[in-house]
Amino acid sequence: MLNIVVALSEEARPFIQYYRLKRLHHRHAFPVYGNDNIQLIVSGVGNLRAAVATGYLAGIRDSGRTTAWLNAGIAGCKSLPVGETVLAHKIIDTVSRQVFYPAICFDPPCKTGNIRTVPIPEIQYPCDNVYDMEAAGFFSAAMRFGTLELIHCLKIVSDNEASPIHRVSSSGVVHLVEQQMEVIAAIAAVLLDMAAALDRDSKGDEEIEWISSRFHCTVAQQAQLRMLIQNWFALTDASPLAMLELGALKNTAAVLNALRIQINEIPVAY
Amino acid sequence: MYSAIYIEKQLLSHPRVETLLARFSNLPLITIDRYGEIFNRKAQNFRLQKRAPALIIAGKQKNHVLPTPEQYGLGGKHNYYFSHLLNCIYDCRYCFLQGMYRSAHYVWFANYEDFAQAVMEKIEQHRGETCYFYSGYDCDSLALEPVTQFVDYFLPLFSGQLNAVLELRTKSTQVRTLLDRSPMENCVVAFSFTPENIARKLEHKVPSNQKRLEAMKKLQQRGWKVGLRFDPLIYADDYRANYQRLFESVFSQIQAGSLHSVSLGVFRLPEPYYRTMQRLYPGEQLFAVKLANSNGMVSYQAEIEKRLVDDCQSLLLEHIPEKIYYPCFMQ
Repeated sequence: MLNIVVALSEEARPFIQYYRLKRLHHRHAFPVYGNDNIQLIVSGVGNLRAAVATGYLAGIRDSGRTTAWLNAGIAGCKSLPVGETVLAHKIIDTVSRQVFYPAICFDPPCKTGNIRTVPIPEIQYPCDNVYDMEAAGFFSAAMRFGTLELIHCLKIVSDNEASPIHRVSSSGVVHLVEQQMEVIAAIAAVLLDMAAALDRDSKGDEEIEWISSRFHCTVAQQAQLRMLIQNWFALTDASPLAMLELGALKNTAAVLNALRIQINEIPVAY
Repeated sequence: MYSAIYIEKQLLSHPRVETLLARFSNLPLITIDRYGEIFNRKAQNFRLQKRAPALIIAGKQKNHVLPTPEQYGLGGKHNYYFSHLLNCIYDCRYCFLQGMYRSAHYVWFANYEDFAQAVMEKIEQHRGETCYFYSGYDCDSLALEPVTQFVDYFLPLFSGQLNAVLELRTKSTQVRTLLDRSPMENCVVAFSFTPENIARKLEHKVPSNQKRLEAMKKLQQRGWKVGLRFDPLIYADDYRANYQRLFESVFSQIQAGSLHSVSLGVFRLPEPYYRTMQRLYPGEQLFAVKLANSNGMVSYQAEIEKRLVDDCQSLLLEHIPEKIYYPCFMQ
């Protein structure tokens, strides 16, 4: 699962087209779009809105630790050319002075750099970093829900010293994002792949659900069941469990006992 | 090799660091205040980071040299370890580092002078007695030698200290720096091994047993003191055959008569590390077998552990004299 946070509807449009996202029609405080494995929210401009929208998106669908997060949008920079993409390796909130370090565990298809999140549009570019208005708010909120390696900010330079911010138009924003969709999609694909790798590990959900539907299961018993089922899969190269046999037992305690016996009988070989 | 370099601001102009930065000038260079900002953060996933770890260049502020845990040693009275690196380039599924650290990035402490001073203080403190210093506790001693030049700095330090023994523990084949030098009486290069079939499953990105043996042979032929570490012993139903094959392969190539030391240690982990590692790798067979918790340490059940240790010990002692054998477990 990938959650995307953008500030402007113009930034959202190329994503909606590229991923064929549908507007989620129930009433939402923010515009939200989605498909099976991607959700996108349009936060509005600024740190606070980005943080609130991130939290809101996390609440819509159960956002476990295996959900990836991406904040994408336009930004300014003193020297980089318009259209250049930069993946954040350091995010500095210029107001609170908080600093965040995204963990880039893949080969990025673009430059990486420092992003400074400012409260009002930066037109002087005092240092040669990328200036945006949402990254810090997004990142500090997303850290509550996800693991650091799956939370990233990607900025597309829309203005610089030679091409100031007042020249940036609505259609220009759409065009800039559209032009960089390949880079964005490459990062999104890596994030989805890493998230799926973590997801694949959480085996046993179906089996636990099946057993819980037949017997009363306490929380502790569910935890034991998960552990035993994971051990079964690990020791048998993911062979299916004989669920019907387990289902014929008297209660959860008997299921746990039967699983323990079966697991102990599995040969240990490398 | 690294995804990025993080560096503490205070070290930007350190001469040892400048050379390294020049070598990796194509990597993103990210300045930080203290390495803990990156390394000790919550909500990190060791397994994901292991895909592309970064190098963190830091200065160690205190506790440069520490006493080793009980049972870690070669029979000496004064055993210390020091770590110029945290984490390892290899990815061994049984390694406790995965459970101990939140991050898989490598931390390199570049302030060798402070480590050297702490080592000298310990030697002075135990003047007249032999002190053992282990450098491969939180890392592989040699694997990053081309980057860290650890051996280059520390061997001269130890060469004049005959009451101090330095152990370099490794699975690496990076022995060129050692081969270029005269062997030292008080330096032991210890290689660790597990049976080939187990190594293939559990030791990722590690040179094969045969390559390690070749590196070890070269050192032995050049007169370096070498040691063997069969640690951790890994249980399988056919463990006897596994270890018999391993010992036969090793001792057919390594001269047992001139070995410095051989040690055995069974697979064991502090309970919190075990829990973390099991969460990281729920599909891993190593953590799915029946294990037991005894006094906060998770290992094989007592009866299995005893059989494993006793049998491996007997098999090993067919090849080596008892005086160079050091068990790393409660006898």
